[in-house]
Amino acid sequence: MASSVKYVLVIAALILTTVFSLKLGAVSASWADVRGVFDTDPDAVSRAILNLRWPRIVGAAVVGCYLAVAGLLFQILLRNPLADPTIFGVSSGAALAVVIAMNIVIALGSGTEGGASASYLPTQLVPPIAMGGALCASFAVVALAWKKGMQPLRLLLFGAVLAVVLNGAVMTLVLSLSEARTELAILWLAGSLYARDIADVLPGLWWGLGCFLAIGFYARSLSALRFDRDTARAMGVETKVAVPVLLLAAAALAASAVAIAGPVGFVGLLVPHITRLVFGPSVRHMLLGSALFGALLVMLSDLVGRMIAPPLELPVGIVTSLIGAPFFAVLIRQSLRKVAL
Amino acid sequence: MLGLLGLSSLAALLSLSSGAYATTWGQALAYLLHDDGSHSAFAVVALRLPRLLCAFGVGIALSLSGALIQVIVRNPLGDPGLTGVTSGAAFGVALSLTLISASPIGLLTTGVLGGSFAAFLTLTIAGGPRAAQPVHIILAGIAVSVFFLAATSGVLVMSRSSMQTLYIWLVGGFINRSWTEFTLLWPVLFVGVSAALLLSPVLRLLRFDDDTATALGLRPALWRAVAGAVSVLLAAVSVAVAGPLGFVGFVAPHLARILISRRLAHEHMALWLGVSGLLGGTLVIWADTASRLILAGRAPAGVLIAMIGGLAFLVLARKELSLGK
Amino acid sequence: MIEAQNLSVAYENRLILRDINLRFAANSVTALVGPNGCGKSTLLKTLAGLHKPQSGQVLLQGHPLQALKRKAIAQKIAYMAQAPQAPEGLTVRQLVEHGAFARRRLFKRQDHEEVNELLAACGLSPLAERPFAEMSGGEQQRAWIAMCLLQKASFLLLDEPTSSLDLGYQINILRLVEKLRKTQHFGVIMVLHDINQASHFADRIVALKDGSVVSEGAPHEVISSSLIQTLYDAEVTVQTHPKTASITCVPNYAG
Repeated sequence: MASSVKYVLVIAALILTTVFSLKLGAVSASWADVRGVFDTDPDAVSRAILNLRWPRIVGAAVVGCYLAVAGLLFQILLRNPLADPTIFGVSSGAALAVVIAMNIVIALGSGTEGGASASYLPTQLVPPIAMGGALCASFAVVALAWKKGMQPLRLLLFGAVLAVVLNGAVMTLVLSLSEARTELAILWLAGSLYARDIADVLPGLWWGLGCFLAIGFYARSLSALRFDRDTARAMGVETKVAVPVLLLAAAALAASAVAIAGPVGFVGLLVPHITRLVFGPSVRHMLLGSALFGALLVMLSDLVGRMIAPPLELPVGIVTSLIGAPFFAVLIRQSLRKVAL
Repeated sequence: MLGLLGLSSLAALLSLSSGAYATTWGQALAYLLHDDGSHSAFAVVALRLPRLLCAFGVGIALSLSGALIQVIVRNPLGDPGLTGVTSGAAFGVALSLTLISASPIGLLTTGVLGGSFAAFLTLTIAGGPRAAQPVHIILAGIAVSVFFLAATSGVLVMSRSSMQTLYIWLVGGFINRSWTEFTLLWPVLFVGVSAALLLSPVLRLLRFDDDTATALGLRPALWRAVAGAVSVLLAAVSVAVAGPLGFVGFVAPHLARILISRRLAHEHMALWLGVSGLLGGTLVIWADTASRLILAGRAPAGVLIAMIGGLAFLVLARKELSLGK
Repeated sequence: MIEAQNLSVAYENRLILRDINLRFAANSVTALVGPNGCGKSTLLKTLAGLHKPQSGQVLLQGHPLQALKRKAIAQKIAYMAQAPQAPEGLTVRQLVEHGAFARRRLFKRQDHEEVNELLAACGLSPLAERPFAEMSGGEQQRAWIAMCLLQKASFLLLDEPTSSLDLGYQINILRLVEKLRKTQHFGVIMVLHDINQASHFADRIVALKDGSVVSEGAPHEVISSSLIQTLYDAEVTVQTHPKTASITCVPNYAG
């Protein structure tokens, strides 16, 4: 099957998912209402759908896309098929930074009452703060796991433990808020698109696009970086520049996703592998395919989370963890078969 | 040993006397002996004492569980949390809490079932208890524990309990733990601890590879399974009482080994187990007290344990991995 | 021309190479030989700009390597590591295509003609669309060489290109390099551990031991039983073929 056909199929799936996400949910809309969403002057029901579900769908797509690409980059650059920004602690670092900032804002008395957790800070600020946290966390993990080079398993192990530590810190801070805020904050911590507003999504979106530009620029270097370092440098890749830039872009993407929906796990882990199975190893396809599949995965997960037991909803992060953990287990078994890790 | 007992007592006293109705140590002890009906006495006897005892018990249980795991998988990085056991137990407990509203015994049973299943999964993914390398077990454990934690969260979310309650339980702690939990905990703890101590001669042999152990007259698979069962039991009861607490099972045995020297730890397993237990109990008491004092009781002990335990893990594991790998 | 000036190279805090002065012309084939640990691989890496010397410098056509960007170096020097690692799932063609990295502008398309020519020259045309991982050791090595050659560099640096191969493939690879030199015109510096291969395929031999150059020159000038004794602590008889004048060292197994 030619790649273009596959792309068409994936995009078709995305469109289908979008439509169904608009229709289904705690309150099921009719097809007419769904069509009404696209009118220039929608009626009340359509407007409700527009306000509630559309931001979620966009948010899901963006989060999935960003996390998948971030995961892909981490996997290539750290030469570790098990890398994922959440398992690693990168997402936790981002979350911690945001929560700390929130607490500072509240302590300074300039926060406003009510609303979703991240809206205590001006939404423009959330992604950069998250990025700062993500970078610190990445730094910490690499520093901890470095021992004459980067053994993949060490990195993962320390990343996972660091994630737990950071999560503990996050929880402490979150639980010190009042009950109402805590509810939302906790939801956000599991990775959730609950009550997301377009305003919540946009800042992260722009930052992410900037990252994509950088990645596009270095895409061919990325391809060469999959070889061992010496070979990549011998080919002409300026590794001292390319690797940090790409790692930064990856962390920033993950952070942007966290800024929108909190830490959603395993997307960055699964999607690159799925993409490779479907599209083959060419870096161009991997980047594009991961972006698309990531969006699809998170959109579907959000839909499933909303549909499982309405009106209750299962946060997106939990759904992806439930799907992702078994996959992770399979990958571990696969990597066992290979020698010396 | 004595130093440890001293530390534990210190921690206990501190715990008893601090909080919303602070007392002096002497007063606290006095209240234990004679309840004079005052608020302080109530606080000490009815609130803090059971909580204290639960914390202590859970600490012992978790550290013994961890110690056993470390022996079974022949790997100093063992911990009931990292190997998925506590998450599995949490899932079991959560299921029965929400679906059946079960009795304490029911909770314990499902906890044990959940924990065993999780342990089984971890070992299978990592390639079997004999072939598995330490780091693989941990990785598999991470996968399993994340899965079960998500599943547990899912179950709790579906149960319509408030987010905060859910979260506080998931994080692990001793808020509002009282005599009911105590009555669940201590009998099981007694059984578990006795079993562990009785197993200590066997444990020494289990640390060798299977062939050597068999040649020495042991049936390693059998005893490994027994030790595993005890470990899961202890972990499950901790989870039933305090939610899934991590890292204690790793840190306490480790510190114990450092305290009494590796050689002694191997030769006198019972001593190592005992020291681990006491250390674990003390640590958990400290954590709980600290969480009450520093965080004004809003964050449960589990949070502190996660942070400090995690940091301790990072430090200790770094050394361990550089020696082993 | 690559020139090493007063090169001293350290590796993990140990001084491996001391004060090396060498010149490599773009039309010659040089073999670096010596016992394990003598520094020949490290020297090769330093010449390729992959390892920074502790003191001294490497000049590429008069320019110090340190001052050049990686791409500029890659356009002039191609380097094949001893155990290069290819990413999973690539076909032979996809692997080889990476060689053009340094030459392509950002948005230029891959020149398929070029790649096909090179694949044919290396005898890989029928295997081009097969997965690289399924190739035999010899075929993989040919693919790596094709990838290096796609760089169209003036120098090809090979780190032990034959070590992991069966004898047939070893000879195969060295012949391939020889043949390609005639059409593509590049200089070769290769680390070889087999002195006989070195003597046959190289027109210049640099013998290293303990971080210094022990001897250098044409094979017939350099190779002698005393040199082999010094380098490898092995007793050999040096034989010169009466017709082809090629030199072979025959080890004395009986002792």
